[in-house]
Amino acid sequence: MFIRTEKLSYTYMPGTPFAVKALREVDLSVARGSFTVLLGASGSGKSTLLQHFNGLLRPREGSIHIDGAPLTYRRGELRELRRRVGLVFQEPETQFFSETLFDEIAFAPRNFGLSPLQVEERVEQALHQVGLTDPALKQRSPFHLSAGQQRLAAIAAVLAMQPRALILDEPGAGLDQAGQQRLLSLLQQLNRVAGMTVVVVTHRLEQIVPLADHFLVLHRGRLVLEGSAGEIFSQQKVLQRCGLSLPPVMRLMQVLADAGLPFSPAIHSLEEARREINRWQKKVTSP
Amino acid sequence: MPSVLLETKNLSFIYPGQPESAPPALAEIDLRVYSGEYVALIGANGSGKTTLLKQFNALLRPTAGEVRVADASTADEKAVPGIRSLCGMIFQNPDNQIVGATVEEDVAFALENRAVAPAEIRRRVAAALALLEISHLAGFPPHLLSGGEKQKVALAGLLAAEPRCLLMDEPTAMLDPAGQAVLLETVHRLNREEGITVIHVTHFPEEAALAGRVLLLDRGRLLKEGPPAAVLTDILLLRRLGLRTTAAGELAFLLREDGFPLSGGILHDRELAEQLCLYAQKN
Repeated sequence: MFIRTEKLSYTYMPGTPFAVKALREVDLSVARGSFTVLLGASGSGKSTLLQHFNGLLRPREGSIHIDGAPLTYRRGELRELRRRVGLVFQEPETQFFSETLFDEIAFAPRNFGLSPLQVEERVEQALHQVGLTDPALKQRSPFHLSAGQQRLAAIAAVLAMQPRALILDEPGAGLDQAGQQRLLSLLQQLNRVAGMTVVVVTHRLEQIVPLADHFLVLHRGRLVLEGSAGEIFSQQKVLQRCGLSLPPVMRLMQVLADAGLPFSPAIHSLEEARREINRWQKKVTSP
Repeated sequence: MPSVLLETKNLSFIYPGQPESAPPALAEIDLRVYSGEYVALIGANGSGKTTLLKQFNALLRPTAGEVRVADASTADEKAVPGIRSLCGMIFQNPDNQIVGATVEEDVAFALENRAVAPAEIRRRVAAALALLEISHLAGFPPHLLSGGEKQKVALAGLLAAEPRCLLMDEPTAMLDPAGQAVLLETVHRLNREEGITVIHVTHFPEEAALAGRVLLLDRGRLLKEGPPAAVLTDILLLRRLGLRTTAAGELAFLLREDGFPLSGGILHDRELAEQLCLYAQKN
């Protein structure tokens, strides 16, 4: 397991009238090299949970194991943890501050004390990973890149630390469909080719479901479902109670099934739906 | 015939400092939006959607051509306050527009600035909170709310000012499915029942499919416009621009490619279900 939590609880502003129990005795695990999607309504505790994964928040109760060891929250340990677990916040490009794309990506490697030559290598590699390979871009201001390029650059800045896990909060928000597609291919490649553990928080399931092998569902600070796409999305009543909905293709297949057509609502990709309907057409038309 | 609420005449816009070699952010846009319409604005990143939206409440003003809101030009400095109270704008990230220490104060902010009488402020704030079903949050500090709740607070702040037009820039991008549904239902209800005109920038074809009219922008130009069933079913055009249509529309397109006899114009799940059922009956 890359991440394991045991009875993890967290309360904001404990002992005040505004105390909010954000996480309640969460036991979960994320396997090394897995592609996990974390689902949950607004306020279900997703962001609170993510911030525990790289030590930004410390459990009020319970414990977390990352990469095989329990977190003890010593200074040196947190530094190492944040190198190993890269966290990409919502709209990460709003945190840009450097004058050039190169300096933006080089910031973390420099902070970790690498030599100029090593820093340059890291920057090259990170930009290559995200596909920003045009050498002219490096001296451009990160603020003058397109929205899609900015998002990729922000991810490259995290990849330059060469983390073992990448955790992203709503990484596709605000990108057009081509930008989202590029982003998802990148995540898939980092996961399958580089073997990186990937955890994504998102409400938009249209394209990500076929890529992920593991789903976690939080509801009011509790872990209520855990499993594969099939296991999660067959629990429609539970999802509904959690304020979640099916991905568009599954919703469509559900409407077709409700209309009396013989299709499984568990179909979650367009290609699979296309195959099933063509097969059905042959059956209907054959004498 | 409904009256024209928003109008652009040969509108072009170049951002200050934009290199001369770069194409203008908006180019020669002629457009009329009628009172009570629900218009979706779609296009790839950088196509000019947000830039066009900001023209309608004078956050940006034309480099060439004209933008008129309820017959006033946005170039007329004196008309700008009136235009801004007529056209309220809501952004993708609610954090960028919340200022109050409590929800109630935040929703009252614009009204206080306009020197509305205190009793009237209280009435309108209470009504806006009730309309969005967040009355119970009135005393909460907004930074403790979830993203969806914050977006409702931002929307309540606009509604309290009783605008005639809502300009929405990807308002559901940060919301969970329940939050998306409530926001969309609320805005469609305001459009239907209160006659509020809506311009809705979105990357989601499912949202654009619910509009009365869809405008498709490409590199600053208005490339195509019409009802969703005309614009969102031009799949080859959408693909060329890196865009998608609804799941039902995409699937219908793939099936037609395979030779399945489906008529065009399918966008909604039930439309595909109806056609497939019809097909099963005939064979």
